[in-house]
Amino acid sequence: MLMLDPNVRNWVMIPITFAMLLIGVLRHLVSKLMRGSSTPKIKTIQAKQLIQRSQYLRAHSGFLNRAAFNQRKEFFCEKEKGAFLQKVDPSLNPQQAMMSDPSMLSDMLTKNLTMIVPQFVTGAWVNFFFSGFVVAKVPFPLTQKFKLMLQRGVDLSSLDVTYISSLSWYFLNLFGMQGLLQLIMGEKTFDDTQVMQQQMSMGAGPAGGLDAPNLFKAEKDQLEMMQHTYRVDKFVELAAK
Amino acid sequence: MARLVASKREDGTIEKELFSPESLKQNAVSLTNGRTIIAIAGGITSGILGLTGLQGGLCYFVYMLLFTLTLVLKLGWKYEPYFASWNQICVDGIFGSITTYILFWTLAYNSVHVF
Repeated sequence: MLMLDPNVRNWVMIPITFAMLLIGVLRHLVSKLMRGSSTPKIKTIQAKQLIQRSQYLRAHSGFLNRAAFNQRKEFFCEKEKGAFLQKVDPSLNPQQAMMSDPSMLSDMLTKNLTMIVPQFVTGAWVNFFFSGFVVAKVPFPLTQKFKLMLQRGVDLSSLDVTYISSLSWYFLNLFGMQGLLQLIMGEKTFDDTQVMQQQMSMGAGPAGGLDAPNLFKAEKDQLEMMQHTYRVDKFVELAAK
Repeated sequence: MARLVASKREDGTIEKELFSPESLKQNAVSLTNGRTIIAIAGGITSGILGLTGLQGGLCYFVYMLLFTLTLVLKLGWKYEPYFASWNQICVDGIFGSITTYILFWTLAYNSVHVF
């Protein structure tokens, strides 16, 4: 059993936890501030609402009779005049928009910046001030494989694996604090695990933005494939049951 | 906005229900928040009791079970007015708050027993 100095607890473990909590709150508020300042473009809203209207139509088609439904379907899917088949504004096509619209790029950059920079800075802060401390002992057994990961900065070959360094404590906080932050802020905060997943899949497609052509096409296909049933005439029967 | 959802019962009759997606979402958020609170409280309890290893891990599930039971009792043994299914009440988000539990377990355990 290793004796740890209570001062390590008071001046390393608890401060790290406390700082992480406050930084989490700060990050949330800063990102809210930045998000609030950008106004969405009219074209984007139009496209979004068009899709939503089509979704409502599909969801509530039971209240419309056949003719009314077909009329609405025609509005969306008709071969020449259909709303989904009109030429889409280039700013709504993410590949083209990337070239023509620099605001989107800077948007992405600031978004990433607010997520990654604080994480990076706290990591560096912990690493700089508290490296080499054995901060805590996890109350569950771990295999030897974890030693390299959890005891970074502590080069003691005979030290039990369950003792972890300050950097590992930082990571434990990073993941564990998410739930608490959500409670405090009362809404969804950044999920670091999600951020990491996003970074992994960054190459796959542009993050954010509306991919109108593809969404239109998907929605049109779904609307065309849909089986329409008129439900109102069965309501009397249902109510009688 | 309510949404009409039709589903087939086991005996073949068709059941139609009205759902409000917003309310369902709100309930799901409350559920997650409840789980997080239980994870925090449970983590601190386990840490102060000095549970280690498997005991502590099992305790997490005991806490979650207790939470679910309390919730179900409060709902009066029926999920229909509040949630989409039993599965959602019993299973959803059980592992989501495990990191929170581990954090507070470690924190309390260290504060009380290690130093």
